[in-house]
Amino acid sequence: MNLVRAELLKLRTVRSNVVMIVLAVAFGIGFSVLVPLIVPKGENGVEPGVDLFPLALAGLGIAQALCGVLGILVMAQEHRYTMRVTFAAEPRRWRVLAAKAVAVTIVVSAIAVVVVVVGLVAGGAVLDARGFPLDTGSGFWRATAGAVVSTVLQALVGLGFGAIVPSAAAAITVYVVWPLVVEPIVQAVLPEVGKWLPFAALAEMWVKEPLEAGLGQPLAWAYSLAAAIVALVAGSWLTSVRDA
Amino acid sequence: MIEARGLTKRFGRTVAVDDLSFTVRPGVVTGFLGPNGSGKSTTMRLVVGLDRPDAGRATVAGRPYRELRAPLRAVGTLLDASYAHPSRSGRNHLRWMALSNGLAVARVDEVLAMVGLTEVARKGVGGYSLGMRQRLGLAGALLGDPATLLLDEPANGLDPEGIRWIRDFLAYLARQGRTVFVSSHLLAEMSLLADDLVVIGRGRLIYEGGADGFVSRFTRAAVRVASPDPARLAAALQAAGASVRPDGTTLRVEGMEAAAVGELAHRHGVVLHELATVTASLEDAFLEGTRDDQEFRVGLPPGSPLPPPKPPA
Repeated sequence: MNLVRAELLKLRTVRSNVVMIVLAVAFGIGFSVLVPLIVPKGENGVEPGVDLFPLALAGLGIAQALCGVLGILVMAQEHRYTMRVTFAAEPRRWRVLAAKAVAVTIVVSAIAVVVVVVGLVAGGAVLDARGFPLDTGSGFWRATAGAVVSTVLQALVGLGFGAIVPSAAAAITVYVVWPLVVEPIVQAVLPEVGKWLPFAALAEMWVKEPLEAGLGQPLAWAYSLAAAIVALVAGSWLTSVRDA
Repeated sequence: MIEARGLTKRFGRTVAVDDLSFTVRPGVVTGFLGPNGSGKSTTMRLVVGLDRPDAGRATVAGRPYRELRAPLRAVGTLLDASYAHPSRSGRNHLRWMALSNGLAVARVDEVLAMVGLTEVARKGVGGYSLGMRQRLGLAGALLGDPATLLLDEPANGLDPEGIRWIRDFLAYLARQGRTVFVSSHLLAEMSLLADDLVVIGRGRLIYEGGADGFVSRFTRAAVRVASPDPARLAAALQAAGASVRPDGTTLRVEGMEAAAVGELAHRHGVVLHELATVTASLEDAFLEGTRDDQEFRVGLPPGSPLPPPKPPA
């Protein structure tokens, strides 16, 4: 518990982390209001029968990416400045990684709940005003929970990745380019393989309607959780065997 | 007590620390000396478990550092003044350290006052001078009131008052029975501070023991003598078995005590203008002791004239 408190203090006392948190909340809520407001009606826009859930959380993708970067930054700050002090204070390095994971989970859970709840309420209200009420029926609460949990898992993947790749610039570049470039290409060319890619599984966690070429809900959740655990365990192991 | 036995660390083909064994005893300040690149910092990192040795082991108070629980209570470490995030305040830097080892946050304010950083404690470390960062690092080392201190160049960046303060403070800590292991390039400071020395070169042990013993092992006592008739005096001294060489306007005599030089001059009727015992310094001993282990030499031998500047094109 002492280590978790120390890691929470570290996380909130670095300016770039605070900026990342503010940006995640601002973009997450802002786009969830803005996109439902400006998206056109009709084909390729808002029309009857279209699932409005992703539209009401249009900012969540950006918020998740920023939370992933926050996870990377938490480790990058150690690599750049404080790693030797941190590991002199707690030589069992896996405990440091575990405490960081708990601290990131606490902070990103709060971000995700705010972004998802405010986004759904505000985005839903905008859509409702435009004559397209948000369907809170089948799958709504599961998708809402998935939106929160997948945000946390993305941050934990970022944390683990930041532990694996000591260079912040390299880690952030790969982390951003991978879901934007690599996964869409693989999904387009090899859809059967693409659905097993980590960011595809994380995104599937918060869809309301089942995807045709997806893993299916229980598997998408389990697979995403496993991806975060693998990233954290690999990062923890590498951090433990490397010289600090 | 700190013990290293057969410590070896390689980085690729470079052997940074080579079968190094030494003991640092409590109650005295032990200086850790070596030329640049000799492996001092690597050795300190090995002792506190930050680097893994390829062979050998190091213990603090009988246990490997990695096995210590709440290690800040047992060992205070200052390895580099830059190991603090620039946007975090000095106080928050110490607060997370204290929290991680279950130390009272009140202790943070105590050590900040101890090192004279109370007034700037809430400012970002990025705005600190090197000396202030050094003091912050020292505050971190003192946080858990540890029985053992490992400090790598603690006087680096400090002003003369700060250097004097740290010298007195480390001596005070050692008198309390603590183990104080300090590396420094400031040999004059080390000569005032260290009771014992561990001297290494190219990762290997050159000397371990009392500071006085190091000086006497690696230097020869000498006498400086000035006379209006140096040639006659030199001949008399050499005839008596002493080694004599000119040293500016004086003669440097080795192998004979000052009193014997004076009596010999008197017997030969040679007038003396100066007669003094030359005390070898720690610097002399260090340069002599590590002569074969200097990794980064300057291009010119001591005393050589500098090359003339190139004329403007």
